[in-house]
Amino acid sequence: MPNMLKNKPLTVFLKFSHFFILAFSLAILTACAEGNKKSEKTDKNEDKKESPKAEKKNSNLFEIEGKVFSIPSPIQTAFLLKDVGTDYQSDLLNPANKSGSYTTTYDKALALGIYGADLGYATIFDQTQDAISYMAVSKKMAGDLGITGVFDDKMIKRFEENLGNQDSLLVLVSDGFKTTDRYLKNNKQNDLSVLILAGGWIETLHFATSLAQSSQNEMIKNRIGEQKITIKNLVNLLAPYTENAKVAEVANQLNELKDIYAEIEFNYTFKEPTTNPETKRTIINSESNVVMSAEQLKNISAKISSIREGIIN
Amino acid sequence: MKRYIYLFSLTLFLASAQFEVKAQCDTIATICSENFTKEYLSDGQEYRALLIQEQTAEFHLTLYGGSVYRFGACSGLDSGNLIFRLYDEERNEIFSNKEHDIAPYWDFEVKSTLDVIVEANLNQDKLSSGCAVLLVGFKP
Repeated sequence: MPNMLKNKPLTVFLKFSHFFILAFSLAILTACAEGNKKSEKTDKNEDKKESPKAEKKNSNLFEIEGKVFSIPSPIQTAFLLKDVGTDYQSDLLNPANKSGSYTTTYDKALALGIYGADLGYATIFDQTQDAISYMAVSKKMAGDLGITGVFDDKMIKRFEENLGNQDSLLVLVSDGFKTTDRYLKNNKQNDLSVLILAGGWIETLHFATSLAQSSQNEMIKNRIGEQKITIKNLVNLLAPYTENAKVAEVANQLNELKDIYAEIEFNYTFKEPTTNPETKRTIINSESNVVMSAEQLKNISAKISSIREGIIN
Repeated sequence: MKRYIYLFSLTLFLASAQFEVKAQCDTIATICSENFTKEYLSDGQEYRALLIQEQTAEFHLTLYGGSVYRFGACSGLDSGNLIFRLYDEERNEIFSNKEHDIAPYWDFEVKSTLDVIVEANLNQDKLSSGCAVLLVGFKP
């Protein structure tokens, strides 16, 4: 008993030491993980104030044994819009001068996705002035998000030097978004990464629905219908981050759009692929088609327009 | 005291390991991007998974009809470390690079739009753990 009493201060000291070392270790671990994220702390705090539930999911960079969902590049649909002969319509784009109205980190991430799609659209249609404006506004958004080494002065300079060379410009834009994706994932900001993707997808579908109505082009309508399969991946992509109020809001809106898409028929038939080992190429011969009524297209158009308005205004 | 030094060292080790893994993935993604010639545009994303032994990473993507895609699948610093298989949504196998010397990239010409699933595993003969990177490019 005397020994126990004698050892008590030591035991308390050891407990505190233990606590101190663990706390210190955790602080170092956190500091290492946080890396370059200081610049976006203020905005994050603002976002958290918006909703007590808006807590960023610190999901691991790697999804072990998990599923990773993806959506196609907005540039692919912009190419289709050009290939089928539609004219460039600058009024479809989100005005660059609106960039100052996006105040929270999450709004900025969505806006970066939207402006990125606008940048791709303007570049594909060789609209140099608009492309430069949207490159500048993408730089602003990326900078506000604390993303370094992309959409910076160096990239803008390269963009300006390559004006007139569409292939090089598109490589710059695509690589810019790939680097953004890498940066955000490396800094455990997957929630922002998925919002950028969602913004790009929403903007592209807005282009397609607007132009489908004015042009009545079947290939554009088909592309809109095909989003029935893409929207599932997009909703799955957002799902792990719905603890965040903004992500949840976007996911809810997209789920409502997914319900509209549920009424559309997407028929798929598997056909044996053909592989040529010499050219390292496989032809995927499977067939698919979309059956969508004018009413369904109208409903999709109205919904995507409402989702987009809610984001940009 | 030894225990605390041990705890502290372990924490430092974990922090540096996390940093090391990210750096490793970045390096692999950069090496993998060399499989993409100028005619392919990136889809703007990097798909990564940390794989240990026989773990499988699963990637879900939409491929548009009338397009040509290139998939680059890499792990480690050499080619032939990552086995990948492509399935449609009904799990019909479309392609496996295991039948083609574990090629680090392959092109896919798509007739009609479809959703695909890419499964990736480490080549156990060469790697027991590592970062798996899948890159997707398309021909404009």
